[in-house]
Amino acid sequence: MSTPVQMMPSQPSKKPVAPVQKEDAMLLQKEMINRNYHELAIAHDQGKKICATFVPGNLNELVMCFDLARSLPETNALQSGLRKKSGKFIMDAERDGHSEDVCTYVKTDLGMMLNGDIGPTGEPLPKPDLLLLSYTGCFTFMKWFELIRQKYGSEAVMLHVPYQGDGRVSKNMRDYVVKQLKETVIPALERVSGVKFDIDRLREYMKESVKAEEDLVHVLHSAKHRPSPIDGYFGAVYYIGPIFTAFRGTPEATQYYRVLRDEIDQRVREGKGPITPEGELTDEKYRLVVEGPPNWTSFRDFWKMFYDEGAVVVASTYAKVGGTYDFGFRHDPEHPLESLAEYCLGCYTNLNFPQRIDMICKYINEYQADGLLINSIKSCNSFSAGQLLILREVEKRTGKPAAFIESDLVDPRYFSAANIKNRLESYFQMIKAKRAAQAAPSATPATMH
Amino acid sequence: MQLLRDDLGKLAGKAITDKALRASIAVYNENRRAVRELYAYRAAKPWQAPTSEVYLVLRAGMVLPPEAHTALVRDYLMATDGVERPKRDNARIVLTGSFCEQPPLGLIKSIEMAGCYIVDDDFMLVLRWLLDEVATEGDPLENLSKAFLHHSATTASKFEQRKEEKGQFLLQSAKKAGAEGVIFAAPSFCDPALLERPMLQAVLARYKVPYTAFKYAENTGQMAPIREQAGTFADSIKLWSAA
Repeated sequence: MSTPVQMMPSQPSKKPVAPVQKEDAMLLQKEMINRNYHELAIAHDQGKKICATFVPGNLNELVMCFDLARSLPETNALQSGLRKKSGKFIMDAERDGHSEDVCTYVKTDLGMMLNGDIGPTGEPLPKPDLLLLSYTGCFTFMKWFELIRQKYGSEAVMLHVPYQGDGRVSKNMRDYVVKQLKETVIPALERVSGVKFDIDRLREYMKESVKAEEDLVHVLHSAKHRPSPIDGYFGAVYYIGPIFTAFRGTPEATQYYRVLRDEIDQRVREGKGPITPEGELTDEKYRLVVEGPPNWTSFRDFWKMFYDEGAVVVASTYAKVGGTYDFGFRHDPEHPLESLAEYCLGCYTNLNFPQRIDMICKYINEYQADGLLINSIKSCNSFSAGQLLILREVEKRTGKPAAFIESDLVDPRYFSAANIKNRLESYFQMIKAKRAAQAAPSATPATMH
Repeated sequence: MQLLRDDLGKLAGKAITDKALRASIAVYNENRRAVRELYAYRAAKPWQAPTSEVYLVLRAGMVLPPEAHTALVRDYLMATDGVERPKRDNARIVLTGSFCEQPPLGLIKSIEMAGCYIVDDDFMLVLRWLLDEVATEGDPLENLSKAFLHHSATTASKFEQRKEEKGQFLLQSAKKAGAEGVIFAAPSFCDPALLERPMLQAVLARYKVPYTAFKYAENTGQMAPIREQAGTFADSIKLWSAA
C-alpha cells in the first residue's frame, strides 16, 4: 500500500505542492524515528540516561539492557540535512574553527550544538551521558566523540574493532572484541546507567533482532525480481532506518519489518515497481548497483534524476553500513557477546577493498544490474578512498559500465544538480549503447541464416 | 603481531626467530637514539640544523636500511656542527599535523624563510613513534606490544582515553623544545588532524601558547600565502608577545 502525504512547503510558494507518495512502512518508520527523538528530549526529565553511539557497529541490544535512551549522531545529522538545516550548522561549525574539508556529519552535529542543541524534529537533544564509540573502519568517529566529550564532558568508552585487512575475521579478532565488551564496555554501561548487566535480557532482544533481520533481507532480496518492487538505495534508506538505529532488538522493529515484508510481497505478486515520491515507477529501464552514501540535502531531487529516467537501484552498499545481513549474518542469542563482535567486525566500512569489490560484483550478477554507479562523497574518506580502484576492478570483472558522480552528505554547497544530471544522462546513454552493442553480434548471425 | 611475524616469515622464506627480532629491535633502538639526538640538537641550535635539511636526512630513513640511516644522521650532525652558521632572531615554533601525508620541501623552506625556526615537528612519525628504548631481553613481541601501547607518541590518529590528556603531548613538546608558538599544518582532507586541531588550539589558548593554522597538499606549489601567514605569525611572536 502507498499513501499520499501532503508536504508542507518550507518557504511560501505560489506553486501547489504535489502529494508525496510513501509506502505505509515508510510512514511507520518516520513515526518511530520521531518517537525516538521525543524520548531523547524527555529522557533526563524521566530519570533516563542517554547513550550516543554510531550506526556501523552499534550495540543497540546491549545498550537497551541498561535502560539507556539511544542517540545516533549520524542519523541526527542526516535528518538535519533532509530538513534543510545542515547548511547553517556546517557554516557555524566552520566559523567556530572547523576546516571546510572535514566530515560534514561532524560539522552538522557540532553546528547543532552551537545552535542550542535542538534536534532535527525541533525538540531539544540533551547531552549524552555516555559516548559509546564503536570504531568500525572510520577514523572520524574517534575525533567526533572526542569533540563531543570536549564540549559536554561526557564519559567516552571505545570499542576497538580490528579492520579486516586480510579479508577475514580471525578468532583472535573476535576474542579481542569480546574481551573489550566484557572488561570495558559493559562495566562502563553499568556504571553510567546504574543497571546490572543481565545476559538473558540481551538474548531476548537478540531473538527479536533475528526476526527483523530475516524480514529485512527478504525485502532487500526482492529487488532480484523484474521489475524490482523496491529501490535498494533511495527506498532502502527508509527500510534500514529502524534496524540500523535505536530499534534493532525491539518488538516495534519486528513489527515494522513484518509490515514492510507484507507490503513488498504484495508488490511482487502484483508485478509492481517501487514507490517513488511521485508514485509507482511503472517502466523499469535501468537496473543499477550504487556504492556510497546518498546526498541528503537534495535527496528527493537526486532520486528524481533516477526515476524520471526509469532507473531503479537494485542493490547498494550504503544499505549495508549497519550490518551485512544479506550475506548471512544474524545475531545469535545463544552466543550474544561473540555475535555482537561478529556483527561489528562485519560492517561494510570494516571490510577491505577486495571484499567490497566482491560484494559489488556479486550484486551486479545476482541482481542482473546494468552497471555500477559510485556517488563519491566529498567529505567522507572512509567511503571515498579507493572508489576509483573499485570502479575499474568492477568494470573489469563484470564487463558492465560504471560511472562516477560527486556530491556530499549534508553540505548543500556540494550538490551540483546540473552536473550530476548531465553525468547520469550520459551514463544511461552509455548503458543503452552497451546493450545495443551486445545485441548486435547475436543479431548478425541470425540474419545470415 | 604473531600473525604479522608469520606472514613476514613467509615472505622472507624463513621463520623469524626471537633472536632475529631482538637483534632488529637493537638496530632500531639505535636508529631512534640517533634521531632523538638530531631533534635535540636542532631544538638547541636550530640555525645550525635547519629543518629543510633535517627533513631530508629523515626522509632518507624511509629508503635506507636502518643501520645506514643511523650512520647518516650522525654524519650529518658532525658535519653541520663543524661549520658555524648565522643565528637569526627567528620565532621558535613547533610544526604539527603533518604526520601522514608529507608536506613539500618548499613548504618547510617557506616557513623558515618567513622567520621561523622549527624546533619540533611530527614529520615521518614512524622514526620517533616509540618514545623509549624497547627492551632487548625477554619476549620480543611482548616488548614491542608494550612499547606500542604504553610508550608511543600521541597523535591525532589515536583515541585519547581521557579528556584531560588532550593536548598535553603537544604542550610538552613545545615546552621541551623551548617553542614560542605552534603552527598547525595539516594536509587537506586529513580528518584526524583537522578535527583534532580545534581541540588542541583550545588547550594552547588556555596555556597562552600562540598558534596559527593552514592546510597544504602534497603537491602544493603556491607558497606565497603560507610564507605570508607564517611571517605574520613570527612577527606577532617576536614583536608583540608579552615576553
